[in-house]
Amino acid sequence: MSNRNVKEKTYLGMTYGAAFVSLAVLIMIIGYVFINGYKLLNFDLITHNYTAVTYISDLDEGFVLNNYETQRDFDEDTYYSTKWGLALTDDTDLQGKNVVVVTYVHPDSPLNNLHNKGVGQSIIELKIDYEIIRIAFDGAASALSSRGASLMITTLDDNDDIRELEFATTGGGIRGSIITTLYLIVLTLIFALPIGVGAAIYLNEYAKNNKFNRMLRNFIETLTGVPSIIYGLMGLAVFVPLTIGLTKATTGNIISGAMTLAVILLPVVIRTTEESLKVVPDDYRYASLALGASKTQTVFKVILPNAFSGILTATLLAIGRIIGESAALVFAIGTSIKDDVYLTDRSTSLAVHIWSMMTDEPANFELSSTIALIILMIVLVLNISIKLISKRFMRKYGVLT
Amino acid sequence: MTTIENKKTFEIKNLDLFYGETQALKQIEIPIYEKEVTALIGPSGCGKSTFLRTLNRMNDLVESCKITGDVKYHNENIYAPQMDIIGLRTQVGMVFQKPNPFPMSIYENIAYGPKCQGMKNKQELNQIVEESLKKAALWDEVKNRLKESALSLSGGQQQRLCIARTIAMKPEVILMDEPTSALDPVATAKIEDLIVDLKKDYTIVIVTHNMQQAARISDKTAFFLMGEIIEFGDTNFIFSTPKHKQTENYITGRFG
Amino acid sequence: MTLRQHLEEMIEDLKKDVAHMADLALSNLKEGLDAFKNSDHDLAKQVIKKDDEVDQYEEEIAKQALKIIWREQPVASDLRLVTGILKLITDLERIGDHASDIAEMTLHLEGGINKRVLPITSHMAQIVEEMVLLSIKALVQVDEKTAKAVIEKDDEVDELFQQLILKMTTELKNDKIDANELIYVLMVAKYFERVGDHAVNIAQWVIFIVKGTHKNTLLF
Repeated sequence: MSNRNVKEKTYLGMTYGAAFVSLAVLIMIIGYVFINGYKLLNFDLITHNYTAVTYISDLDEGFVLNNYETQRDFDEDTYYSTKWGLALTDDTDLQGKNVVVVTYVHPDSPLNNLHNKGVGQSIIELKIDYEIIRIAFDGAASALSSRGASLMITTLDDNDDIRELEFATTGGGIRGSIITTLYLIVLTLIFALPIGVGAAIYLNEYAKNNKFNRMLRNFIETLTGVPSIIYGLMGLAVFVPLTIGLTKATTGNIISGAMTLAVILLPVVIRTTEESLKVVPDDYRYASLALGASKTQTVFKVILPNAFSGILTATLLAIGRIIGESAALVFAIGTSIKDDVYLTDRSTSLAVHIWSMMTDEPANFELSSTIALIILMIVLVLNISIKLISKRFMRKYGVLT
Repeated sequence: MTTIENKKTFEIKNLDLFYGETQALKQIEIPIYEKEVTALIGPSGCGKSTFLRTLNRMNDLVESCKITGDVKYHNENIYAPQMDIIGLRTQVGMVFQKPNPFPMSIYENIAYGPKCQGMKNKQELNQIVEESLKKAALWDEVKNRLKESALSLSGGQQQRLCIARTIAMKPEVILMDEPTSALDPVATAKIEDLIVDLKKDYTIVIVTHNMQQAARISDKTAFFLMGEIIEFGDTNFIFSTPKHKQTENYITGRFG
Repeated sequence: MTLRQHLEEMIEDLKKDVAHMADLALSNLKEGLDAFKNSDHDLAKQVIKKDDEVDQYEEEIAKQALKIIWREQPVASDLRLVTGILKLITDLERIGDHASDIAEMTLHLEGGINKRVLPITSHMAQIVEEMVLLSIKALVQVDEKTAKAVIEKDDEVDELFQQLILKMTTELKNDKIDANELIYVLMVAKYFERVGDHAVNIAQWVIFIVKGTHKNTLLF
């Protein structure tokens, strides 16, 4: 008797242990990413361009220096020059370096309209959040950002003229990559879902149970296990030239990336949809056919709405895979981080962006963790919103599971 | 002894049915009379449900099924190649053993059939839904919750819903495959009353395991045994003075 | 293994009880007839007492039959058997009653019966006894032919009865017979004839059990 008890307890202990270990590992990983990425998390990251543009400028002819009093209240670490109407603060940039950032520019300050000494626009505005890199003066030492905002303001106040003002627009943001990722999700789903669901309907509802169809099923099942990098190579070989030929693309682009991803996802979508179609009870099919509905009507009016939650799962799985796919995309889209995203041009998804960050010198682990955190949040939001939408959809159709 | 012969809705002759190599129905010959209830009784696996499904060609769904013989509906062989199967099924409806309403609202369930046939007009659909539910003796119980899920109804109500759904197609014949075997006695009694009421307007063929039910509600009874019809006739003769010993043994319960 | 073991047993018991009741009624009839023939007053008194048993049997069997109906919902041959039995036990009970009546008549007859009338009455008694015996046989064997034979014999009894009436009116006219004796003998003869009718009834219900028709009318 006690022998059996011991056995029981051991098995029980093992199952508890397994659950505990799984939970612990998950929490550790997410926790680690969270802790590392949390510090750099801010709204600017999402909205800013990646590439920061540096401008060298000087003042317009005939500028006037005045007394730019302001009623604004500034923080302790913000330094304001009433002479120039400029407020500067010490800050850390998105990479973690110390920088001097513009916090306020008085509307009448001459620093509003700067003359661009380089190429591009002739007049540039000095905007909030821009970094001041260097201010050069005639007859005085330049003020460098490495010295801090306080010193820069003091130096400014000591001078009446500026020879050069070197500043940079904000950068390091992942806006481009986020947009790319969203484009990818939508396009891939547009390609993969109709074809996948259609194939699953064929296999489950119309295909006879003969050798050919059984082989077909086996084949599709095998495909779910093929490593995605192989698909990436195929994408490079097939879809990139295809899109180059059909559109004005010249290299790997988002459309070819979406096509590649769609091919990767097809077996998964087909399998999941097929499973959810199988689960729909035959009773419904019989009832529908006995009422004089055709097979097609039965499939689209009764079976598909019922398999909806399964198809939803397939979609969510797909989205997860799309967001996480990096290897295949490296070939099919390329690795240039872009700020202006075009469908027919190369870009990076968030995952590839992380890859790019980590292969840079030096590898930027903290930022990557932050991006990882953002990805997690996107996945969470997508999950919840799709579930909500589907609930609304099912209620509208009166389909309830 | 025989009353005036009613019109024959179905006339079946020399029907043989095979599932692959196994013969499930042997030389079936039976008339189905208009606006009567014909009961099919017999032990499990004797072919009565299979036979029922030949009347609306639901056996077509089984790949290995082969049929020879004459199944005439209004003098047309329904297994002729040019037969409009979908049209046939709108005329010959079916109610199944386990109530199988769609997981949609009560309204949508009833409207399903007419909608599939192309009916779009809201007024017409509303009318059909109301009529069908009334005929199935379910209207009063659900008229205030037509938009609720059909699955929220009790078993007996669901079965009446399925009957209403079939009636919405305005069929001539209603086939019922053990319609009350999954229901409690009260629900069963309600459906039996409904069937007796329905036979004024519809021809009904019902498969049942319940002998008392067959005796109570049917006009004609056919006794199936191992794929053959042993005896067919007026229900009151079958149950009082059956001609064949096997029939007698089955209905007195001497063998199952 | 036959299914419905319970129904089978109940039906067998029912048949046994009916057979017992029939035997009892028949033996009472025989004894009543003997008592009449031999003017045996003691025997007559016994017969009258025994009738209670027959009545009791009728109640018991009716109860059993009803139980089978509500419990087992019999159909076809079971149904015909049970309902047929319910009907024919009435006739069996009446036969028992008449046996008792005949015994009672005997008590009123002092001395022997007029020798001229006796042969006819004896003949009637014999046939009637045969008829009852045959009808019980038909019942127990559930045999249509035997039942039909019973029905045919009834004509003989009727004819004998007519003969008896003729004889007795003649004797009366010739003043060869006591009026008292005449009346009681007539009543006994009538009872004989009634017993014959009941035997016929039993036979007709046996035919119903076999075929479902009673007096050539299908009852279904």
